[in-house]
Amino acid sequence: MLSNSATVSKISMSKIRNNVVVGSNPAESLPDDLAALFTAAKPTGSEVLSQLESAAAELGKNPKFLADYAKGLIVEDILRAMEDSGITRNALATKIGKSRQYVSKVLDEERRANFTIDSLAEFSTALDLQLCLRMVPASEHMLFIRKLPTPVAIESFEQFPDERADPVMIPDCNQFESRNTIPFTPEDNYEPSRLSA
Amino acid sequence: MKIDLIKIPGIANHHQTVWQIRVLEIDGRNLVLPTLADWSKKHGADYKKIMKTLMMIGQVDRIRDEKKIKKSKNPKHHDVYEIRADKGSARLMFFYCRKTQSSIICTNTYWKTKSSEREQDNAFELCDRLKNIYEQNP
Repeated sequence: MLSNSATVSKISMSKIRNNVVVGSNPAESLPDDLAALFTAAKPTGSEVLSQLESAAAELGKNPKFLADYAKGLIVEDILRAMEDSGITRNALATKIGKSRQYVSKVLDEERRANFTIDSLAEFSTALDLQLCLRMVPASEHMLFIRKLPTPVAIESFEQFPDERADPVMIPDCNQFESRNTIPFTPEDNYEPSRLSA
Repeated sequence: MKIDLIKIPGIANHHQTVWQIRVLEIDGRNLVLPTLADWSKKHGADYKKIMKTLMMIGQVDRIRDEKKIKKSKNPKHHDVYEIRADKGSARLMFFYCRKTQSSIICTNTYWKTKSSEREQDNAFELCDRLKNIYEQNP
């Protein structure tokens, strides 16, 4: 069900490669046990790639998955804002006029408490966040320009330079690159020319 | 030995606005994508949870929900993490790249069983070794 000739023909290893070899040292070789492990691994051929493409495409059409995904991101946004502002669940509950149990339930994805637009607005105002809700055509992307804390809040990143904390600048829409320098590719249907049309 | 980083089909650029998500490939083979493809066929619920976290992890500085991401507690390991299918068995090991400072690199997977502490530690160990190989490569 997941592969057809058209899909397979579209998918090639070049599509998933960075086009950058990180390292190449013919003189060096993997330890024997690791070499055996990699040799035994199934090659990532078009069968594997088309399976992954098809499975991912199905996820994109699955409302339950999309709801879980959106909820997961919102929960992370709330947790991050709580951490940044040092606000506890109790304090947040008081701010929005609800019980701590309600807040805990909302933050626990597994307990299936649903957000409503009203509750999202309550959380966002209480946490001094902007609420951004849109529904856009599949061919368009919404992009959030995010300023990271300094240093990035993972202990092992303390040595990272502060430049990660800089806000993303968009120098030119036609030459847009995201924060991590991945250029938008034609597969993403990103057409900056539409913006000025 | 040739080391490359490859993309994960289904993880689009707009899922990677903070971190790039890549899979470590050595000499043309990797330990992640074939397993992920297998999970998508045989273990749909676990695959969805892993993909959901993969789609999220590139858009935030870090995931705060410990049900989704765990760091190895073994002091022998250095900053290696697992993406968890909560209440499921699929696990995907990764590390944050110090070379590029903007990538999450997935190295290997494992399927949690009942007596899994050793398996988990072994999976972290493998991730840690691959991380060292990656970081030491010129």
